[in-house]
Amino acid sequence: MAVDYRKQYTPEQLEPFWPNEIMRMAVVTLCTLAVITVLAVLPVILDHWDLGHWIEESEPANPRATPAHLRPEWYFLAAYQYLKLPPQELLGMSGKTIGVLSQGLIALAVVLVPLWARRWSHRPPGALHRFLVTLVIVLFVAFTLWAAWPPSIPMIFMSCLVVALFYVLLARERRKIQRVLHGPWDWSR
Amino acid sequence: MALLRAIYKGLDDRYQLTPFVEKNITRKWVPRTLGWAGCFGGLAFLLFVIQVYTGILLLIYYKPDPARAWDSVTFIKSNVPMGWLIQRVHAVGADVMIVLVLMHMARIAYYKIYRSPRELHWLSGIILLSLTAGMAFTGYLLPWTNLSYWGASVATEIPTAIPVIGEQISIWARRGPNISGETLGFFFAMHIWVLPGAAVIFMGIHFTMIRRTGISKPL
Repeated sequence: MAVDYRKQYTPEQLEPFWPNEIMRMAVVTLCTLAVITVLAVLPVILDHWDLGHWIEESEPANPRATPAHLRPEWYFLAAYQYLKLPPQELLGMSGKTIGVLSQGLIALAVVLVPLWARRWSHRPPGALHRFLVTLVIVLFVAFTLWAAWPPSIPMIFMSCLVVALFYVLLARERRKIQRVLHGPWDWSR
Repeated sequence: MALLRAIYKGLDDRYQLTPFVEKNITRKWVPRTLGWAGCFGGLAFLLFVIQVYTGILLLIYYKPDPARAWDSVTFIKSNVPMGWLIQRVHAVGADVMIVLVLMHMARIAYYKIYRSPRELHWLSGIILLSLTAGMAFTGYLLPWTNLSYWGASVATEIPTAIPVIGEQISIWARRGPNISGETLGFFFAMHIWVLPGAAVIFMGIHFTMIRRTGISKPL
């Protein structure tokens, strides 16, 4: 059923699942639980000690009172801001229609991403590809912050933290791949 | 310990567990190339499990009825022992889950892991991302706060911009011309059963395909 990695890798490139991989799983699981606990409890504690206003008081739904600051949750902010980009009227279509339809096209393009790659291509991702992925990430974060303008300090802090964490872990992983598969970098070549 | 050993031996005699455990855990070899960045997908699954668990606990007190929803959530937050914590973890868990799913997707895109023979892994992943966003969206209306009411109202307005079928989509999602008790019941059913059920099915497909092809060898 499962793949035997011993056919694809040399013995030096492999390590035992137990205990090495299991131990790493335990570490990341506990770290994640700690992060969730802190994110869940810290705002409550800060509110309790009167250190700023962190949790918004909620009021029951009222169909007759539109809230003053109405905006979606952070994960929909980028898409929401994108819908505001087109002008009111363009090529005989309303800007809204163009926004929604082009968003559908972008979603379709993302679904079809594997078809852009050459079949069974065995070349590592090039600099242009890595730049494009980074561009998408930067645009997503920028649109999110733009929609929330002016973004709050925790929002800027969290988005910088997540992007930095992603790239630090990715850089470490790339160095590890290089070391395991090709040996230490040869500076003379 | 002796008791555990006896139970294991009894089960092993009957169901031959040892070869299974050896093949999948104790004698399994994995590539050294995986770094800490390789754990985002697995952690997204962990978050799903946490959301199901805290969701079940919230379900004990929550009432999907416009007249009682807000009161029941307030009751959970102020009267139920540790209810505030479970509610906070469920709310924060949704955010963390989406962050992890996006980071997982970005890493896959960065290394071009979606290339053949893994195109369908990518497709099932996109479906899982949509289901995650759907669960977050439907869950946001359930506390029936003024912000969530108007948020859902504005969001279900967006499809009306689609020509011809847009109006119908909006009416379908709202179960009528406006956000009402019908919408709450619909979102509730979607949030606790339909979307998570679909997510479990697609996660099963996603994980099975990954086991069949193995994780990709970096280039």
